Amino acid sequence: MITGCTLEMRTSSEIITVSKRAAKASGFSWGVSEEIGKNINLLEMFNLSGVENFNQYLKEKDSLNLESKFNIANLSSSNSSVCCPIFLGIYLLDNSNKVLNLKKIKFSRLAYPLIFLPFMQRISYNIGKNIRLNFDDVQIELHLTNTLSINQDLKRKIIKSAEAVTIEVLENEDSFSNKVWEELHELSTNTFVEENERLKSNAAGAGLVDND
Amino acid sequence: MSQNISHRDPKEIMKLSKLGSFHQSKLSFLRSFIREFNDWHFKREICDLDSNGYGTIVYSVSKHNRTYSLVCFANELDDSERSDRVIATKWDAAFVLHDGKPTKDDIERLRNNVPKQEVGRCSYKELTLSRANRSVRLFNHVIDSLSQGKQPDLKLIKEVGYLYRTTAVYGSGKFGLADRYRIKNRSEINGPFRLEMMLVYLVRQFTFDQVNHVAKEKNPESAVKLDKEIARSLGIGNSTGLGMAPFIINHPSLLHQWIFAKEEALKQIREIESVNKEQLQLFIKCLNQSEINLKDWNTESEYQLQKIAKLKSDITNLKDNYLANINLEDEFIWNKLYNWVESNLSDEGIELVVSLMMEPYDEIINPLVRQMSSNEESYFEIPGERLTTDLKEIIENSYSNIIEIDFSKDLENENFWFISKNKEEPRIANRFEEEGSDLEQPLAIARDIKDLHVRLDNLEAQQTVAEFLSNNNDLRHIVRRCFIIEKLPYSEIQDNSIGSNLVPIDMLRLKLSYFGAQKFDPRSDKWLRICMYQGAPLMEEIHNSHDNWMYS
Repeated sequence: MITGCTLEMRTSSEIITVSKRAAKASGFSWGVSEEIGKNINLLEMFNLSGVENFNQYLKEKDSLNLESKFNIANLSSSNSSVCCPIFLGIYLLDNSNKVLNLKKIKFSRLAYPLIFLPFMQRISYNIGKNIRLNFDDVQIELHLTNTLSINQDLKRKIIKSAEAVTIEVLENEDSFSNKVWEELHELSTNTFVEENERLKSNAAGAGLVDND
Repeated sequence: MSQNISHRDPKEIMKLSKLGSFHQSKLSFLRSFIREFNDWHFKREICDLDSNGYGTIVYSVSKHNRTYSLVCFANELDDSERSDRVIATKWDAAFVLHDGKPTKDDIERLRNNVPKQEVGRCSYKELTLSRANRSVRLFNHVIDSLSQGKQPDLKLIKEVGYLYRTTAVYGSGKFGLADRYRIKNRSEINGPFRLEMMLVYLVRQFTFDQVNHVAKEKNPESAVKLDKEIARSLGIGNSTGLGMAPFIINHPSLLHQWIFAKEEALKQIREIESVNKEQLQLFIKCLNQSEINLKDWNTESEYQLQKIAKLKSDITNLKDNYLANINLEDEFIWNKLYNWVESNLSDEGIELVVSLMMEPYDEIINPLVRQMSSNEESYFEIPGERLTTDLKEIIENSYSNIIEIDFSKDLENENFWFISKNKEEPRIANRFEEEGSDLEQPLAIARDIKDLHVRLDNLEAQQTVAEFLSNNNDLRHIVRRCFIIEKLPYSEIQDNSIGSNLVPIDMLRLKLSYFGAQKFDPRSDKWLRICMYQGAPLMEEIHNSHDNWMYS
């Protein structure tokens, strides 16, 4: 039996379909709308307000005069206009390898940064690296395993814009010391069998000396 | 000596005229459902019907700690309100498959919602939802006969084939039902459409229990129960409209898995060097039974009548001119048979033979059944770093017939697919006669592929796909499909889905053949009736069932 749901909650299938159709009805192409449907659902799965942010974004987007064309080399902290979270997200997603190479991207003025977040999540998965996304005082670490950690409670929040945004590709590194690893490894070897001479010569396929 | 047989060419197999000639087979979902669930425990838990047969019945299907329950609500329906169209708002019966055993509260909640179907609300505790209408002429006749202590007229039973027909079966997140991802790790439902097949199978049992109950209430002294053999010969009807057609376009990786399973089965069977007598006899027995079944394939559709006539003539041709001379001592009998069939029979005959060739080979088919689902998410991302030359090459390799279509001609552009605002269901209409083509659904794949190819052709210099998309995001949906077909060659229909020659029921028949439907009866070019589970073992005998029930 499935648990942990309320009887009234909307399903992922409904969220994806309705978001996709609402996006198309608001002027996005079908392909872009597919990306939006997937992302809004991803936000909801993270327990963030994907539907609320997207609904508000659609109401305001035409009046915000959002930038929709980008060049990764020119993204900077002195943007004159506000970046559209969807077109910028798609642009970076399509250029995931460039994001990986640049390691760090800083720019300013991003509308509805939570809508931008799932694109970063998917880039993290594509490039196999964790990504740190900072916007203003919000810090989010996106893990390639489809999880994230946030430094504050964003549940039920609509965030209309961010002034300063940083995307940082994090190097994959161990979270433990060599000493701890050795201790654990030593313990794991207790599952091994000590080989006597006969086992050494008979238990494996090749010979002990293979100079032929 | 071994033979290495290639898979059949997707550009031929994926044409709609070919897909519209597919038949049920051992790969079909209702047959694999019975194979996989024949060791589960099926039980009628609650039967709370009044003398007219209205009320509630609950069935359970359980094994170890897992239980699924079908909750059935039978309602009074005036004849004037009975409609199989999706616009209907009332039905003779409504059904929901509940996860576990429903509590009294669950049943009350469902009673207030399930009969309303699309305008009601289910929850994560429910898995599939459906409704059905009686075949008035057969339902009443069966009750009258049984209540008089007689069995119903076999001629009428054969003619109709079912007591009820479903008009939609919903699953996977619709109307509040549990999303697929919530239950995807259950091994018993790894196979395709397992829960939908379970629902329909139990609905069939409901129809028998209801007629037996009403007949008994009508005449407690004389009524008899429906004979088991007659019950077995009854299936569940289904009226299917355009809703199914976009499904196969919108799920390209799943479509590939289904078609590939069939093509891989055919390849492996054609590669068999030695065939024994029992295997050949089973094939011939199934062929003969299919020929007999053709006599009960009733339709008024000229389109289908012509196909049935071709199929009859194909079977005669095969029996007289090939099977009569077949020699079991020969090597690679199936391959030789297939090569002859391909050269001498119509698509109807070829695809029937392909289905029948699978019958003797559980060991080939069962592993393929387990590969007939798809993780669609894993094909979603577009590789932006790839080059436009790659994209062009994919199109020229995989859509070579499509890019020859001249979409400047009105005939090739005649139709558009849209979603009805009234019922949120897919529809198709003439672009030049009706309004609404500005809200066209992204189902004109051939036209958009052609558009993409033209734009790629006009590029002055090679670009990355990311660069190309930054100026051509209106074709993003189609670029995504190109990278799917590169990996999954059977993922795309190789035809024009908006041309004047389109026969939408070909798309329905493709999907329904995989469900295991029989007796396709087109009522127009946009909807048809079919029958499911006709001949299938009854609930009480499923444990002892054999897989060839379709040909018994």
